[in-house]
Amino acid sequence: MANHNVFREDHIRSPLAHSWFLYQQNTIGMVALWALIFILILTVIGPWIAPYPMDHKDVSALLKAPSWVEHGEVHFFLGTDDLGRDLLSQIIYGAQLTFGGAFLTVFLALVIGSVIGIIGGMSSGMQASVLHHFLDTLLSIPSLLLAIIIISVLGPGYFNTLLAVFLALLPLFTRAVYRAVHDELNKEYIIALRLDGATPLRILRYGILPNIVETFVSQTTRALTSAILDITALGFLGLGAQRPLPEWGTMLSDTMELVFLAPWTVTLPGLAILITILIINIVGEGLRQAILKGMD
Amino acid sequence: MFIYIIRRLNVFVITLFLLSVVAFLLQRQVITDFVNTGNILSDYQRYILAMLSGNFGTSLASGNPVLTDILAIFPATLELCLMAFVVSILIGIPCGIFAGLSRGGAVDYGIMTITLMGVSVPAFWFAMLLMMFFSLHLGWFPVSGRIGLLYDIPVITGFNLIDTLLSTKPYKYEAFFDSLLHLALPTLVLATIPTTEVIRQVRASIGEEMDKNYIKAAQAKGLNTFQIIKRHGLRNALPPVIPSLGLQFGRVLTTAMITETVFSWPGIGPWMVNSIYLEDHSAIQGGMLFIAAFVLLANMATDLLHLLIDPLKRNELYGKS
Repeated sequence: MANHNVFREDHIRSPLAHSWFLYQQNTIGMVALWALIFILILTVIGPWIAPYPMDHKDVSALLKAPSWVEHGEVHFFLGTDDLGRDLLSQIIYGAQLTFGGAFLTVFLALVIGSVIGIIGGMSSGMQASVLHHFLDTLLSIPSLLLAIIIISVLGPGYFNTLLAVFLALLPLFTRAVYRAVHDELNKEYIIALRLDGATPLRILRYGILPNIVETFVSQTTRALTSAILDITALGFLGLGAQRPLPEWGTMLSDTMELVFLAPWTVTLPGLAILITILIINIVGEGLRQAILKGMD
Repeated sequence: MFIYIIRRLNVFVITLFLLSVVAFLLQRQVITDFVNTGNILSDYQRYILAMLSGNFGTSLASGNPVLTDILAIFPATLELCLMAFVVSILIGIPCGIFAGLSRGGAVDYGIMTITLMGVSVPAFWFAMLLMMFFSLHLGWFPVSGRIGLLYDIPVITGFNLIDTLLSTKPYKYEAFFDSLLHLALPTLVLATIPTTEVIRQVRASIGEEMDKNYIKAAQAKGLNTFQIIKRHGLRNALPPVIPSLGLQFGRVLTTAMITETVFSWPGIGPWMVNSIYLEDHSAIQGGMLFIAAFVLLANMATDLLHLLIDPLKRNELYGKS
């Protein structure tokens, strides 16, 4: 085939730019990405666009069905619960508590856990070994159980839940980053870099970090989903956010008695959780695949 | 092999030791009725001796020793978890094989979509949905509990399915089916996590094995797909699945705690949550140590089982890979 390129050199994208290019080919992934951005925006500006204030109770509209059902009203688009609280507003406010809380927690855990993991991974001998076994111990306890244990010491509450989830996520990140850095460190191109006289910081910046992006992406996805699941589960068990707060899990535990009377109060908050986690999983998996392909 | 077992046991003991230190430090922070002499080392020594002799303290809520309480309710949880694993293997392996054989095809796409849903659904919400549809709407399954109130089954092993069959009551088969019905929905909820994991693993390893030359040789011999899978594919594809299944045990156990709360299953989940409400710290701590130790034990057991079943893994151990 004739080459119409006037210039001698082909433009070659950097691996990450190439990964982004590959990701854009993935239609479902792009839809999910836009949905994720939508949820993020909703989380930030939620309080301004919610139709009712957070603690607004309308006594004249108890247990209204969603607007598309026969007895529903358009004022309460998703219906109301047993105290006359508008479900749509509650779910929008809940996005801040559930998704926003999980997002911040995971971000903090990512930063702090990665720093510890990188320091551990770059070092060797006693220091690394102690860290390794300590993390193994912590990771042998499932994250939710760890969170429950921490809650049992701190006492129930929304802030304590976030703290517990943060502490439970920390070993996950540290361990994964530690592993990735450690594995990368023993590869030949790093040894070549070291023989060239590169300082550890330079090896980290140019040799290791670009090659473990995939670890960061997959761990962040996992952490984000497990953070949302843990926060909602703790809320559901009554150990997390307490009721005036419309945290999605807490909302669900409240509606246990309404299963028969008002099924929409059960299905809708749960659907919010399911869709959020689904979107995160799709975006994360798509990004991971694109990065893996972009590396080749 | 023997040396490996010793090494594995060693790691197990060290992990338990670390766990007990963490629990001890937590206890020092919280519990006041534990007499502190001010010297951490001698306190810890007394603490660990009490633990080793099985004395987890007395529950403030029930007045019984904590260990007695745990042993009385833990079989209910364990029964649920084991059933979930059985179901996950029964569903997961065939689905994984179908998905692995038709990689990129419609069947694969369908199964992987359902798997993605399974990973993303919160267990307690799924439990409520099932309850709404199957128990309240259709009335096929009971809403809560382990067995109908009409049946009086003496506790022998703590596993209802076994106890009902062991009992000498005239209605023992009815009781058996009743407890099966009670088990159905919680098991289904609990099985989602290990099932998705089994499907993913089997799909990946079947997909990998089917490209290998010995499969082509089997095809050249004239075996059909079913025979190839049965005689060659599965034998090489299944062993790597075992350790990942074992690692799921911890997650299944915690999910069981949530599922139990929804279905009022008298297991360790509601018991722990209740202890936290009541600030019954010796019960919380005993429960935590017990569950963590059990998860560690399960992990070690799967490691050893994997070693027994998978010769390739044994070779790795001796540096012969």
